[in-house]
Amino acid sequence: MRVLIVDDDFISRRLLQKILSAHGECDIAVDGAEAIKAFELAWGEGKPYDLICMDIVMPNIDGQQALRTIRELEGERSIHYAHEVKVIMTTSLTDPESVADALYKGGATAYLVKPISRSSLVNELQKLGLIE
Amino acid sequence: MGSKKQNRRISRIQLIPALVLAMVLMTAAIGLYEVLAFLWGASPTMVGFPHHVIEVAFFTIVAGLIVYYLLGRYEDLYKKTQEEIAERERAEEALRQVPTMLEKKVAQRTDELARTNKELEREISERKKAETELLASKAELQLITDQMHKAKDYAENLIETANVMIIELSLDGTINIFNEGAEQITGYDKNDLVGKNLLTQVLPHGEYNYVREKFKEWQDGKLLLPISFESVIFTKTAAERFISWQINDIRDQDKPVGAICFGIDISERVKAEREVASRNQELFALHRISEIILGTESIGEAYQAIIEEICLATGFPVGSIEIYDEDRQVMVVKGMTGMSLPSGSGPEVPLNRTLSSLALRTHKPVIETAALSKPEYAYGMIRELGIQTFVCLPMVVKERFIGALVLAHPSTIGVGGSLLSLGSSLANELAVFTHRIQINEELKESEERYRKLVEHSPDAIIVQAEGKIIVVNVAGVRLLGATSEEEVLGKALFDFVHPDSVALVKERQDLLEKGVDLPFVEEKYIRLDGKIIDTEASTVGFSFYGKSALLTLARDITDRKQAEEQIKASLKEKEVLLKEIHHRVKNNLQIVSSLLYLQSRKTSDDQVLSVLRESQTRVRSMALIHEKLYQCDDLANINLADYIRSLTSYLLNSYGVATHMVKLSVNVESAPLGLDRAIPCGLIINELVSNALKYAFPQGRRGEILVGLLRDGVGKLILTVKDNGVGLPEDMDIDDTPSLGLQLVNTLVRQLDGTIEVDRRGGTEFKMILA
Repeated sequence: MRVLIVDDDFISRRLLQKILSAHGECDIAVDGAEAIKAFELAWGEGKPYDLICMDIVMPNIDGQQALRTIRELEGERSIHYAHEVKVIMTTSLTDPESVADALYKGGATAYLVKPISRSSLVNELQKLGLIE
Repeated sequence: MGSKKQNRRISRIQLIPALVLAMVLMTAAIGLYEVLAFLWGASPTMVGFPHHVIEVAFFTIVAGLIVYYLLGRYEDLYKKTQEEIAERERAEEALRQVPTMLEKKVAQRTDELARTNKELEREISERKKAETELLASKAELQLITDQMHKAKDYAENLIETANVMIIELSLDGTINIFNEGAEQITGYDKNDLVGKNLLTQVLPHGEYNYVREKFKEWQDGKLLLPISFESVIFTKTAAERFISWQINDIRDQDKPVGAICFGIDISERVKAEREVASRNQELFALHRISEIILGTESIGEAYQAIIEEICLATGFPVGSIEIYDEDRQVMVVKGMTGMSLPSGSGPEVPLNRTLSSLALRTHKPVIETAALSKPEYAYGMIRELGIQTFVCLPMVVKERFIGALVLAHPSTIGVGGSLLSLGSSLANELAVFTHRIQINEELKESEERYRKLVEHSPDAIIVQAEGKIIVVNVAGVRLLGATSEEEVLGKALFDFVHPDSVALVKERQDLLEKGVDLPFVEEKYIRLDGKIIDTEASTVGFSFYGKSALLTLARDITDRKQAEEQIKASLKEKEVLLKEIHHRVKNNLQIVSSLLYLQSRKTSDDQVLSVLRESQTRVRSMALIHEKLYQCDDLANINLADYIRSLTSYLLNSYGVATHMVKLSVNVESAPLGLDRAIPCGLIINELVSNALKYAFPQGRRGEILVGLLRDGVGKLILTVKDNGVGLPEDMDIDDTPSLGLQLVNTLVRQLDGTIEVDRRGGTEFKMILA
């Protein structure tokens, strides 16, 4: 499994990396712009990501915008939904209230509320069929 | 032949009326014509034709018709007549057979009639039945109709009010029915959604794709309904609800025209399942931590592994375990992840520089979700790492604050009940772990201390269980004359007991079994090397690793015992020597006293005589003390009572006073007194009694002298010398007197830290209180 972790906070990224590196190869991006670049690069290499874990509040391009862009890029490539990258958005208390609604309409596969423990993340990965 | 005749006859008969009829008809036709001609006379169309032409033609036609009819009629009649004749002939023939046939026919008819009757009856009854049935089915039909109405109402009612989402969709996914249940669950109003596409309204991205795919399959006829599945939906307020769907076709003549979707809200169940899953995860985390604790070699590494595990389990990227050091008033950081100690600082952090101390006072969790905005936290890791949320969970065992588990997150996050409960469980686990480590360390220390105490004890310490030595210290090995522990372990201490002490040891063992702790007692043992030793031993019962055991403390007192014997012998020697000395002192004093006596016999001067006698009695009183000392066992103390009796009776003899003239009473407590005090006391008594004997009873006056020596309540000696004689001279001041005797008394009383009182009423009483 190929994973992209997108978070502007170092220690949060570190924890996610710690949890996810047990299940696959992890790349890191620190904002939405980097995330979009990484996404395109992975397609270019022919090894697209299976999962993107993305924070919402980030500088430059935020998570929601990045998510929409990624879905648009997939749309341009006419990717079947089954092959779409699974995107788990991570939200904290201070994020906008209607975030869930906005997220799924924006194309998120799932969302997790911080703190993201190993069990909650692993449960979600199992639900999405990414791991056994 | 008969039948031919008959035919002819009938034809003749019938021809006549036919002719008559033809004439009548002709007459009638003429009449009719006349009438018609009259009527038609007015008709313009008919005018023009000559009447007679019409008449001739008419009559010709009518006559022709009549002739034609009559001819035909006749022919018919003839044929008929012929047939009738033949028939009649046959009938005549048949008539001849009638009687028999008639009988048969009658019988046959009767039968038929009976049958017909029966059938008729059956038919009637069946019809009656059919009528009844018809009535019944009518009622039934009414009932069914009623029920159908009811069912329809019920179904409609059910659809509207059931706590189940019921949504009817057209083939294209448009919502037709959206019931109250669906409104309640989704939060949408019927009017918001009816007429819109369901798929794009309430399904999240992931679910949407799946459902859309299925929907397409169904529209294309590839997916056969009903199907059931579970999905997430979003309510109008963007909350998640979990729905269990059952989707059925709506068909019209075998063609699907839509779908009816039943959705049951299973959010509570899913929530409960998640709760269970989270509990399981909690248990799993605790289990992993237990594994770390159990599998650890080094405690320091265990703390580090535990905090990393806790951070993964709780989702907090920063965490530390800090243990409270009460003596030094610091928190000691035992494990840390997501951050590091400030450079140059050790693991010990002052209380005011650590978050963990926040829970020190209350023993309750401290939660902060906006730390960056609070000036009181504007230090250290909160600033450096940009911590917004932290949770400080106290580790408490038996109401004692052991330390705290601190978890921190850079975002403002919700710290809910389940997270707190997990955190508290982890903190408890840690508290117990730490407490155990602390107790273990204390135990180790204490064990080490006691072990050293036992090892280095100069006294033998021997532990026996089940009659065998299981522990022995170095002194014990030495005491028993062995060179190593192994030589004595497993043996019974009782086997070392000397026969002289066996009875004593047995007696003490019986007492021990009754639970009596025994004081030290001397026992004799035989060492491994055969040497007999004296010991001083004490044994107590105690529990040793769960077994009942005996702890014997023993000290080799062989040397001491020998020394004691030597001292005793030496003492005895000294006592004998001392007695000898007292004896010799007494003898010498006796000699001095005798010399004075001899000297006194050489003079006749009364004054000289008196001086010599006084000196003699003084020396004698001293000699008497030494005599008393060597006569009794106690060489240091003298029994004053005995001494005073001897002294006073000597004085009576010495002054030649007859006992019937002056009565001497002694009232002395049997009080032992040291030599240093006994001699002054003796001299005081000597002086005062001598004075009384010399001056109190002049010229044969009778009287009494009383010597008393008592101890008062506080242990002071009260010495009284009392007489009922003539009394002291009026002008005599005992503090300033030329009398050597009284001067001597005053001096000796002072020497004994005492006071002196004189009572001159009814004789003289000297009362001395001696310290």
